[in-house]
Amino acid sequence: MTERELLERVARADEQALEALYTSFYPRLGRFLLRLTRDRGLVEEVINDVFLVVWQSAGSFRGASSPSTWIMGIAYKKMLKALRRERPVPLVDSVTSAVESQGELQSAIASLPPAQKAVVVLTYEFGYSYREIGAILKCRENTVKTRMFHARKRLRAMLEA
Amino acid sequence: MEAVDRDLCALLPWYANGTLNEADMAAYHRHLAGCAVCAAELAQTQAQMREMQSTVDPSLRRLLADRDENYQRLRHAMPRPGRQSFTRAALAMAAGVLVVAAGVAWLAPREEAVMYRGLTAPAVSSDALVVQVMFHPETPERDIRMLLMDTGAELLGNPSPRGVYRIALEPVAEPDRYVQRLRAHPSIAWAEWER
Repeated sequence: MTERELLERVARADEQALEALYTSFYPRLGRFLLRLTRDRGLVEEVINDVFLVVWQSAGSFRGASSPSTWIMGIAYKKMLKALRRERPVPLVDSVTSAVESQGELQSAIASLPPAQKAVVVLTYEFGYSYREIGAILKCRENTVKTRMFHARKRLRAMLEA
Repeated sequence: MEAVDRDLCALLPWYANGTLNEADMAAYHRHLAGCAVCAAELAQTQAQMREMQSTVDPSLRRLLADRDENYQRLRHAMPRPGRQSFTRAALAMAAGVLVVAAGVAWLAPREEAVMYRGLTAPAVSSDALVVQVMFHPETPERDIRMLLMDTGAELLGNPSPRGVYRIALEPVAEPDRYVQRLRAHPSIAWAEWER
């Protein structure tokens, strides 16, 4: 069954379909959101917030974009909102220790501002097109390209330093 | 540098990840032949993409281990407006699902006996969980790559002529349960582990 069909079933309050969709998206969302924060508890919370929205709003999904783009977009929006709450990062999973344990590239990407980081991660790691990224981040395609330009400039500077 | 050139240079990351449309792809291809900056950066960008795709964050492993527990938390938080506990209709639907599941199990491709071995398959540790998987034909290559990346699975050689992939995973306590989960994935048409 495709993601679109599962979403149609979720719109009819089918819990089995929701679980299948959750199973399918959980690793992808986890991977994406862990790039935006090192707080694993917050990532778990946001993933469940995303699926509450999916459960309640699947009927409003009109198919203008793919289910993947729609769900990743909800996740990005929810995560930005959660980060704005300025929740303190737990000591055990601190940014510093996590970044130190990564390679140079990973550390450089981790230090980018969230909007630029999202563009880089969605392009480099997830293989999305700039049009899809525009739909996920709810911004114009030219904004995606501009964010990428600035992100790459910063990355170059950090990696060459 | 001309404005048009700058616009084309900006397409490099999406040329590198293969998602440009036909027109952009053709224009960038022509540009690449004459742009020393892009030519120098392309290989480096592709290497960075490979590095990011192959890195599995230890936090992700811990997050994945908590998936079932988190799903239960979600279930408790889900509002269920106007839904009854277990009506006759629900029972009828459950029976229907069982019939369909039995049909699917009967019709599922039976390649268990013909275990595919790729000629170039890398060596696998003896305790690894090796699973044979068939994806739905319409599954994009990117989704297959994403699934492998998400699960930390290693692809063992090329798929068989019938499209059966062999993947190796870290040993798990309950392989049956793990494979059941794989089967529930919307991109997977069939999965069986090699006992």
